[in-house]
Amino acid sequence: MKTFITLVTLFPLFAQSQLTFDSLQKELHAPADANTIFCDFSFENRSGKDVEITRYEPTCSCMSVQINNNGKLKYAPGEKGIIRANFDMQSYSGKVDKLVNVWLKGDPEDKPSINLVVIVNIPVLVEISPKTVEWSSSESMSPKTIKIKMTHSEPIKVTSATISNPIFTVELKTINEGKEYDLVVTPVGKSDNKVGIGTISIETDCKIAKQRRQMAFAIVRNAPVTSAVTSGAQQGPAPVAPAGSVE
Amino acid sequence: MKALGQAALLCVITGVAGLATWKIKGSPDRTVPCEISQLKEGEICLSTVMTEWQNNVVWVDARLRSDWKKDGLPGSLLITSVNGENFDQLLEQAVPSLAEGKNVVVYCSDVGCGTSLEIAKRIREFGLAPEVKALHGGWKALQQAGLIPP
Repeated sequence: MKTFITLVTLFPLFAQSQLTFDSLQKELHAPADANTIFCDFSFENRSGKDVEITRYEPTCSCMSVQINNNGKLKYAPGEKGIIRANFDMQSYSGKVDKLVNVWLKGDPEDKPSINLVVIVNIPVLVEISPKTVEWSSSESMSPKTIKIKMTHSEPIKVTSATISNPIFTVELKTINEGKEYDLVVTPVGKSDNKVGIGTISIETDCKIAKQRRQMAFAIVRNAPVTSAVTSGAQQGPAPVAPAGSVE
Repeated sequence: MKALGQAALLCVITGVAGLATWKIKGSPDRTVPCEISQLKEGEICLSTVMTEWQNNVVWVDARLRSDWKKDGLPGSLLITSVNGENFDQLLEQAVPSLAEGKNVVVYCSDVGCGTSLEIAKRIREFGLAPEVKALHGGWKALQQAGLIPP
């Protein structure tokens, strides 16, 4: 029995094979005009036995993952390798976290033993704040201002600002040409017909295509009903529309 | 040799005990575990959505369009940036639902997918809903809780 207990106790130690990485998380700063960026994770087999990578995949279709040495998957003790994560930044700006999962032989399907994190900082050249202006239908429909600030070293001009819903008007005010603008949004609908949503499109001459158009929203919501009215209101699940309703 | 015999005996005993437990207590709980204390920033457990928010939420599917069409949660909206999807366009289409004043829960495929956290963050930046969270465990958690029709 002693022999058996010893074997059972030692089994996890034998089974636990690991790769040692230089870092499990890396942060990169990308230039605003870059379309792709890569991040290398170096590793070494510092265990006493062979380690086999059985699967490796990013958690986003915006990434691809490669292993050097022609995709070598088996590593003898002391052997080194590099996992390269290529990130396609075309639709991103700001701080983006992405994950690469790596399964070693024996890892459960849903629990890769290695999670590599790539943090990419992509400069935001056009800052919009706030991105939504809203009113309650019971309040005064006074104008509200969206601040547009360019953070690029070169000037970026706002070329147009439009709103999709005629119950609002937008007026662009230049504070500092190429640097700072105010967009004044005002609901103009009649009092009985002023609830609605408008999409504000802000077009700029930014040379980086993905940051050229910015979006914001204007909303007039129904005034909250009083507690006396809500007490009899029906509560239930959200109305269900079939999957596939947004095309 | 004696050790092997003992190992075999222990395996048989364990197997019988497991079978008995199955018979008495039923099949094992396969729901995706979710410890509130271990959630990442911006994540939420399905149990919290169902109890505290009483499932009165807008669900957002951040997976591939094909997956959403195939087995997305009924009533969910597609908002994603994967596979070349235009996030801005999808968000614009979804705004009337997102601005209803309900909380928003975004899911992707499973625990490690990560897309839901990113999409939740991007939706949150627009300030359209009181709270926008990413579902821990994603679609798999919904499926294992029996919320995805077979």
